[in-house]
Amino acid sequence: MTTGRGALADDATLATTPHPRAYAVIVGANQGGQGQEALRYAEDDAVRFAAVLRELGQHEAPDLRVLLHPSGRDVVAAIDDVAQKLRAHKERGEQAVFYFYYSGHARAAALNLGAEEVSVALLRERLSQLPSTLSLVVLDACQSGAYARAKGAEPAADFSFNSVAKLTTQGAAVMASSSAQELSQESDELRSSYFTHHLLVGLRGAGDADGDGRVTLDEAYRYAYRRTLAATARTQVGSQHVTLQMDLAGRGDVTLTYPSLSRAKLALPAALQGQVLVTRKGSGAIAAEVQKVAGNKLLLALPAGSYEAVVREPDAQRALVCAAPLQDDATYTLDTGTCTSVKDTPTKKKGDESELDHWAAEVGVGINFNSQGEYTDRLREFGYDNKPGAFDLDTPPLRVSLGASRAFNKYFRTGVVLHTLTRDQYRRTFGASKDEFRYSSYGADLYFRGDIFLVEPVLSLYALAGVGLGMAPSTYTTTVSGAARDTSSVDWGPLLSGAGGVSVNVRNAAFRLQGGYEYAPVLKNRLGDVLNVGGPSVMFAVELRTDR
Amino acid sequence: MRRRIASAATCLAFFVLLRGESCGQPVLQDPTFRLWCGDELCAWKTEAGSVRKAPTWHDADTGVEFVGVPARIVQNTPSNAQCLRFTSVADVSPSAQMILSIDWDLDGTPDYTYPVPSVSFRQVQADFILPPHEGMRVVLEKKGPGNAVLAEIRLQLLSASECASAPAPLPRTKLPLGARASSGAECASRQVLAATCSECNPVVPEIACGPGVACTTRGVAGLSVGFALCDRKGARAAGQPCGIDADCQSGQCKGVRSVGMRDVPTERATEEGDKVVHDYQLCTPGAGAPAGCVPKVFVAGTCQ
Repeated sequence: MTTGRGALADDATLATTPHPRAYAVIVGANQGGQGQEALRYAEDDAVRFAAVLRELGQHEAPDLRVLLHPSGRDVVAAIDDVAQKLRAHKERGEQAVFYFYYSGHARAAALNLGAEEVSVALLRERLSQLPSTLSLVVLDACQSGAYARAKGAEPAADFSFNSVAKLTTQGAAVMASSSAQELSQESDELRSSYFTHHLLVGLRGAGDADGDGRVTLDEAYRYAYRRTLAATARTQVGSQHVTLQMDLAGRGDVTLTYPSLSRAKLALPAALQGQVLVTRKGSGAIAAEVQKVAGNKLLLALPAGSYEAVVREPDAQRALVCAAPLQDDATYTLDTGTCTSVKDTPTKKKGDESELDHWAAEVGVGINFNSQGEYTDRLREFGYDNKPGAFDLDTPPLRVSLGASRAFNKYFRTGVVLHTLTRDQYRRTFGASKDEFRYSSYGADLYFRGDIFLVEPVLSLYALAGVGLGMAPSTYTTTVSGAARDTSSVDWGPLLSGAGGVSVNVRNAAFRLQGGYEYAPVLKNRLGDVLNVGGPSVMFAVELRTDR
Repeated sequence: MRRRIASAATCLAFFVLLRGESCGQPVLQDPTFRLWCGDELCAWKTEAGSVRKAPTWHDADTGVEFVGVPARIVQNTPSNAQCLRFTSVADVSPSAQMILSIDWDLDGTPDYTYPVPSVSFRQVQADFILPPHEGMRVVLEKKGPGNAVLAEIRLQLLSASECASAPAPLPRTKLPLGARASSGAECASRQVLAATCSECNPVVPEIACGPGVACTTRGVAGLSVGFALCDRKGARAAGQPCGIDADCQSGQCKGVRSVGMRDVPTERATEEGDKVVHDYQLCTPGAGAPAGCVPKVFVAGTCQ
């Protein structure tokens, strides 16, 4: 580990290199139009994009206009406002750059800003009229659809591809999150869209392929393309190819960020090779994920703070966990010799939900309702009677359950649950003779559960079906003139269960209200009568999950 | 609610009338055959064949199995209940020919028989009305070779409203003096006094006996209700009803039937410990009768 100031020799040169004034309109809109489910990270992505331009692009904050869930009029007005400023620069013979970033829902011909739309035609018209030296348009647009929502991703149709074709103009570049026929996706694990996350990581230095301390448009695109494609290849929505169309002939490389000028930096040494995952301590937010190759030193520009880097070297069976405290005006060089080695676990691929480690424990409490049938009819014929279950404090109809489960993905889960079933007590009195029959019952289920999200990921409806084993210990007590004699036995039988309910998911916990029915022909008497010790039930359960 | 009050009132009326028996109260001891004294039922007397424990719906909830042909158990009860509900839970095969019979005049012959239906431990109920009586002899008898296990045999006193739907008893006629009867039509004498066939009423003797002839009650000490006959001072001819020898010209009154019942509480060793079992034994009231012998029946004889 080494800590030093001015890690790159030409930092000073970079700092003094003149770069044109840049203006930006950065739009984030989680809310889509009618029929489009809300996105979760579009507005956060817009804020992060602005932060990177401000920190690493050497741009002034007032020139970066961030619009969160704006109206269409707001967006057009912001572009028009920038257009006036650009005209002023042009009249003075100064170069100026314009960035337009959009993260949100879109349909093929328009951006969806809540109930409003901004047509691509209008946007193209406004952007094409900008008197900027360079216009860079970054579109991370999504369009909702039942198929993609069911796979936990935010899809966009071919908006980006069409947008590229329509928006490319002289002196402009358009980078879009996906190509035609592809869907753009958000990742709960990254807490960002795949595209914006990797684009920003690239801009923070991971994309600096030549190690010159700058990330150019071409480098950023190549990095975002490669990493987005790799990350989305295993998702159930499918691969996502970032597109870039430029018409910048004769203008050379366009520098977007200067990671080496960042006040706080994490340096990955030249010899380091493997996958490096950098997360913010405390929040666990992924700051960067880099596939580091040996040979070049890599500089990541990050805000000062405490980070943790997990290094997985090729073919290694163990991972290295390294602390990375970043301070302003310093470069922290990762030294794997100081890292802690931990046993390797299967790598979590971003967005690959089939490999998510979704273990959960659950505990529930509720009410079982006793079933009646030939068995209880027989008891009554023999003169036995019971109190209604809800009022018999000796045998309260309490249901308690305890279980564990594992998710295949966020829609399907399988688990094992142990729970109480019905219990009851029947009594008969003839003179000095008192007879009592008491049973309780228990079940063990293997179940499969499916969820349908009403408001993802907070509210879902679910249904489950299970199969298992039931047991019913029973005691028969006969008392004659105060002398009691007990006879106990245990019956076993199959158990089938079905249930449905609503689940409210808050962070790692889910609160479920569930109604169900169990068929458990377990209790049998000498005469062949069988009692279903299952029956209807209602239950409130809390589920604690190991995943985020 | 009003109906329940009415039912309770009628039951209370029966309770008072029947001197202590309350509605729903079991008439028989040990209706679920729980009290075993060795190989015998404590509260039932085995008169033929044998009995043994047998499981019913649960291994520990045992009943009684009748073994042998015939197999018969008997229990005497002092109950004078007339309106009864018979409830049985039994596993009886058709060939077992299981019969419940009741001898209410305590003459050793059944006055009422009810074949226990062939079912497999299902509850069977039947309501019936008995004529006025004092005490009963209840008999359960398996007459055939089939299997018969009884889990429960219960006789319960019904309220008047419940009794309304029970079948009326078969009409009887020409009952002798002293027989318990509902009306005079059942009696050979055509007269009834305090539910007992009589010749006359001591209050108005001249109606039945004629002028100057007394109406005298015949019975034994301790009998709650005897019968009344015209006291013709030993002038009764052969073949006429009589209560005592002095009623007859011949000085011989034969066939007077007097039956009593006495409670013999006995502490017996049961599986649950020592229990007191009430053994209601039949006895002959009068001189030399065992202690506690309460007369139940006193029926007129015939002059020789």
